[in-house]
Amino acid sequence: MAVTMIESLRAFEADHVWVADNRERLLQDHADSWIAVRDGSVIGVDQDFDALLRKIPDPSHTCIEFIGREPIEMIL
Amino acid sequence: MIVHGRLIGDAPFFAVHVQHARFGGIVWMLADTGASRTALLDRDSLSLRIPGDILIPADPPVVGIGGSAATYLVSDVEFTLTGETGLFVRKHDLCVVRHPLESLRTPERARMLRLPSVLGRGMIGPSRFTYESSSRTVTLEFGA
Repeated sequence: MAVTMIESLRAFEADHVWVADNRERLLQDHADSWIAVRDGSVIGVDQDFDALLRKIPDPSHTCIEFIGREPIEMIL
Repeated sequence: MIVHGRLIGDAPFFAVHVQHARFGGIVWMLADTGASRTALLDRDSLSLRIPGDILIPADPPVVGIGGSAATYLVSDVEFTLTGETGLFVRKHDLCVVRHPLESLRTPERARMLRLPSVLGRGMIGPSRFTYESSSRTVTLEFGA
Protein backbone atom coordinates (compact mmCIF):
# COMPACT_ATOMS: atom_id res chain seq x y z
CA MET A 1 0.00 0.00 0.00
CA ALA A 2 2.82 2.40 0.91
CA VAL A 3 4.65 1.60 -2.32
CA THR A 4 1.49 2.27 -4.32
CA MET A 5 0.99 5.59 -2.55
CA ILE A 6 4.60 6.61 -3.21
CA GLU A 7 4.26 5.68 -6.87
CA SER A 8 0.99 7.60 -7.18
CA LEU A 9 2.41 10.73 -5.57
CA ARG A 10 5.54 10.64 -7.72
CA ALA A 11 3.56 10.05 -10.91
CA PHE A 12 1.24 12.94 -10.06
CA GLU A 13 4.22 15.21 -9.41
CA ALA A 14 5.91 14.09 -12.62
CA ASP A 15 2.80 14.99 -14.63
CA HIS A 16 2.72 18.51 -13.20
CA VAL A 17 6.40 18.96 -14.01
CA TRP A 18 5.74 17.60 -17.51
CA VAL A 19 3.04 20.24 -18.06
CA ALA A 20 5.42 22.99 -16.96
CA ASP A 21 8.23 21.66 -19.17
CA ASN A 22 5.93 21.36 -22.20
CA ARG A 23 3.88 24.51 -21.74
CA GLU A 24 4.91 26.13 -25.03
CA ARG A 25 3.86 23.11 -27.09
CA LEU A 26 0.68 22.70 -25.05
CA LEU A 27 -0.16 26.34 -25.72
CA GLN A 28 -0.01 25.68 -29.46
CA ASP A 29 -2.33 22.68 -29.18
CA HIS A 30 -4.64 23.56 -26.27
CA ALA A 31 -4.59 27.30 -25.64
CA ASP A 32 -7.12 28.50 -23.06
CA SER A 33 -8.21 24.97 -22.26
CA TRP A 34 -8.17 22.73 -19.23
CA ILE A 35 -6.16 19.57 -19.77
CA ALA A 36 -5.92 16.31 -17.85
CA VAL A 37 -2.57 14.54 -17.92
CA ARG A 38 -1.58 10.99 -16.95
CA ASP A 39 1.88 9.47 -17.38
CA GLY A 40 3.04 12.36 -19.53
CA SER A 41 0.11 12.21 -21.95
CA VAL A 42 -2.92 14.45 -22.34
CA ILE A 43 -5.98 12.29 -21.67
CA GLY A 44 -8.66 14.96 -21.77
CA VAL A 45 -9.20 18.52 -22.95
CA ASP A 46 -12.05 20.98 -22.51
CA GLN A 47 -12.49 24.72 -22.28
CA ASP A 48 -14.97 24.10 -19.48
CA PHE A 49 -13.52 22.77 -16.22
CA ASP A 50 -16.64 20.95 -15.09
CA ALA A 51 -17.01 19.31 -18.50
CA LEU A 52 -13.43 18.03 -18.28
CA LEU A 53 -14.08 16.54 -14.83
CA ARG A 54 -17.01 14.59 -16.29
CA LYS A 55 -14.86 13.27 -19.15
CA ILE A 56 -11.95 11.77 -17.22
CA PRO A 57 -12.13 8.56 -15.17
CA ASP A 58 -10.44 9.60 -11.89
CA PRO A 59 -10.16 13.37 -11.51
CA SER A 60 -9.19 13.16 -7.86
CA HIS A 61 -5.90 11.47 -8.76
CA THR A 62 -5.21 13.21 -12.06
CA CYS A 63 -3.07 16.21 -12.96
CA ILE A 64 -5.45 18.91 -14.19
CA GLU A 65 -4.04 22.20 -15.40
CA PHE A 66 -5.18 25.26 -17.33
CA ILE A 67 -3.15 26.19 -20.39
CA GLY A 68 -3.79 29.89 -20.57
CA ARG A 69 -2.51 32.49 -22.97
CA GLU A 70 -3.14 35.19 -20.38
CA PRO A 71 -0.36 35.36 -17.81
CA ILE A 72 -1.62 36.10 -14.34
CA GLU A 73 0.11 37.14 -11.17
CA MET A 74 -1.08 35.51 -7.98
CA ILE A 75 -0.61 36.84 -4.48
CA LEU A 76 -1.64 34.19 -2.00
CA MET B 1 12.31 12.91 7.25
CA ILE B 2 13.00 15.11 4.24
CA VAL B 3 10.22 15.72 1.75
CA HIS B 4 11.20 17.14 -1.60
CA GLY B 5 8.98 19.48 -3.53
CA ARG B 6 9.37 20.99 -6.97
CA LEU B 7 9.75 24.51 -8.21
CA ILE B 8 7.35 25.37 -11.01
CA GLY B 9 8.87 28.59 -12.21
CA ASP B 10 9.73 30.10 -8.84
CA ALA B 11 6.73 28.65 -7.00
CA PRO B 12 7.27 25.76 -4.53
CA PHE B 13 4.84 22.87 -4.90
CA PHE B 14 4.34 19.55 -3.14
CA ALA B 15 2.22 16.55 -4.12
CA VAL B 16 -0.02 15.80 -1.15
CA HIS B 17 -2.42 12.91 -0.74
CA VAL B 18 -5.46 14.12 1.19
CA GLN B 19 -7.70 11.50 2.76
CA HIS B 20 -10.94 11.77 4.69
CA ALA B 21 -13.60 9.19 5.41
CA ARG B 22 -15.81 10.80 2.72
CA PHE B 23 -13.28 11.88 0.07
CA GLY B 24 -9.68 11.45 -1.01
CA GLY B 25 -7.23 12.36 -3.72
CA ILE B 26 -3.92 13.95 -4.61
CA VAL B 27 -3.51 17.71 -4.63
CA TRP B 28 -0.71 19.82 -6.07
CA MET B 29 -0.18 22.28 -3.23
CA LEU B 30 1.69 25.55 -3.19
CA ALA B 31 3.78 25.86 -0.03
CA ASP B 32 2.64 29.18 1.37
CA THR B 33 4.11 30.51 4.60
CA GLY B 34 1.62 33.36 4.43
CA ALA B 35 -1.26 30.93 4.88
CA SER B 36 -2.09 30.15 8.49
CA ARG B 37 -3.98 27.05 7.37
CA THR B 38 -3.73 24.42 4.67
CA ALA B 39 -6.57 25.14 2.30
CA LEU B 40 -8.21 23.55 -0.69
CA LEU B 41 -9.29 26.01 -3.33
CA ASP B 42 -12.18 25.60 -5.72
CA ARG B 43 -10.50 23.59 -8.48
CA ASP B 44 -9.25 20.90 -6.11
CA SER B 45 -12.38 20.94 -4.00
CA LEU B 46 -14.37 20.16 -7.16
CA SER B 47 -11.88 17.54 -8.39
CA LEU B 48 -12.00 15.72 -5.05
CA ARG B 49 -15.81 15.94 -5.00
CA ILE B 50 -15.95 17.05 -1.39
CA PRO B 51 -19.52 16.52 -0.16
CA GLY B 52 -21.18 19.68 1.12
CA ASP B 53 -22.69 18.07 4.20
CA ILE B 54 -19.31 17.64 5.89
CA LEU B 55 -18.34 21.30 5.57
CA ILE B 56 -18.53 23.27 8.81
CA PRO B 57 -18.27 27.09 8.53
CA ALA B 58 -14.82 28.17 9.67
CA ASP B 59 -14.70 30.00 12.98
CA PRO B 60 -13.05 32.51 13.02
CA PRO B 61 -13.69 33.43 9.38
CA VAL B 62 -10.77 33.30 6.99
CA VAL B 63 -9.67 36.47 5.22
CA GLY B 64 -7.17 36.93 2.44
CA ILE B 65 -6.05 39.55 -0.08
CA GLY B 66 -9.15 40.37 -2.11
CA GLY B 67 -11.55 39.90 0.77
CA SER B 68 -13.48 37.00 2.19
CA ALA B 69 -14.81 33.86 0.60
CA ALA B 70 -16.94 31.17 2.14
CA THR B 71 -14.57 29.06 4.19
CA TYR B 72 -15.15 25.75 5.89
CA LEU B 73 -13.25 23.37 8.08
CA VAL B 74 -13.00 19.63 7.71
CA SER B 75 -11.56 17.68 10.64
CA ASP B 76 -9.71 14.38 10.70
CA VAL B 77 -7.98 14.73 7.38
CA GLU B 78 -4.85 12.71 6.76
CA PHE B 79 -2.10 14.31 4.72
CA THR B 80 0.54 12.11 3.12
CA LEU B 81 3.70 13.26 1.38
CA THR B 82 6.58 11.25 -0.04
CA GLY B 83 9.79 11.56 1.94
CA GLU B 84 13.30 10.34 1.22
CA THR B 85 12.83 7.31 3.45
CA GLY B 86 9.14 6.61 3.00
CA LEU B 87 5.81 8.26 3.58
CA PHE B 88 5.28 11.24 5.86
CA VAL B 89 1.78 11.21 7.34
CA ARG B 90 0.05 13.80 9.50
CA LYS B 91 -3.54 14.32 10.62
CA HIS B 92 -4.70 17.88 10.46
CA ASP B 93 -7.73 20.05 9.87
CA LEU B 94 -8.32 21.18 6.29
CA CYS B 95 -9.76 24.50 5.27
CA VAL B 96 -11.98 24.47 2.18
CA VAL B 97 -12.48 27.76 0.38
CA ARG B 98 -15.40 28.23 -1.95
CA HIS B 99 -15.82 31.23 -4.18
CA PRO B 100 -19.22 32.02 -5.71
CA LEU B 101 -18.16 30.64 -9.09
CA GLU B 102 -21.71 30.44 -10.44
CA SER B 103 -22.11 34.20 -10.08
CA LEU B 104 -18.85 35.03 -11.88
CA ARG B 105 -18.48 35.79 -15.56
CA THR B 106 -16.55 33.16 -17.51
CA PRO B 107 -13.12 34.88 -17.60
CA GLU B 108 -13.18 35.62 -13.87
CA ARG B 109 -14.44 32.14 -13.09
CA ALA B 110 -11.57 30.64 -15.06
CA ARG B 111 -9.06 32.81 -13.16
CA MET B 112 -10.47 31.73 -9.79
CA LEU B 113 -10.25 28.08 -10.82
CA ARG B 114 -6.55 28.58 -11.53
CA LEU B 115 -5.85 29.36 -7.88
CA PRO B 116 -3.74 26.55 -6.38
CA SER B 117 -4.49 24.96 -3.07
CA VAL B 118 -2.03 25.96 -0.38
CA LEU B 119 0.04 24.07 2.16
CA GLY B 120 -0.05 26.43 5.10
CA ARG B 121 1.88 27.00 8.29
CA GLY B 122 -0.11 24.33 10.13
CA MET B 123 1.78 21.76 8.06
CA ILE B 124 4.95 23.73 7.19
CA GLY B 125 5.49 25.18 10.66
CA PRO B 126 6.77 21.98 12.34
CA SER B 127 9.36 21.58 9.58
CA ARG B 128 12.54 23.23 8.39
CA PHE B 129 11.33 24.71 5.11
CA THR B 130 14.06 25.28 2.55
CA TYR B 131 13.50 27.30 -0.59
CA GLU B 132 16.55 27.94 -2.74
CA SER B 133 15.82 29.17 -6.22
CA SER B 134 19.45 29.06 -7.38
CA SER B 135 19.69 25.30 -6.86
CA ARG B 136 16.00 24.67 -7.63
CA THR B 137 15.63 23.16 -4.15
CA VAL B 138 12.53 23.10 -2.05
CA THR B 139 12.20 20.77 0.92
CA LEU B 140 10.34 20.23 4.14
CA GLU B 141 12.45 18.57 6.81
CA PHE B 142 10.54 17.11 9.73
CA GLY B 143 12.13 16.05 12.97
CA ALA B 144 15.31 18.03 12.24
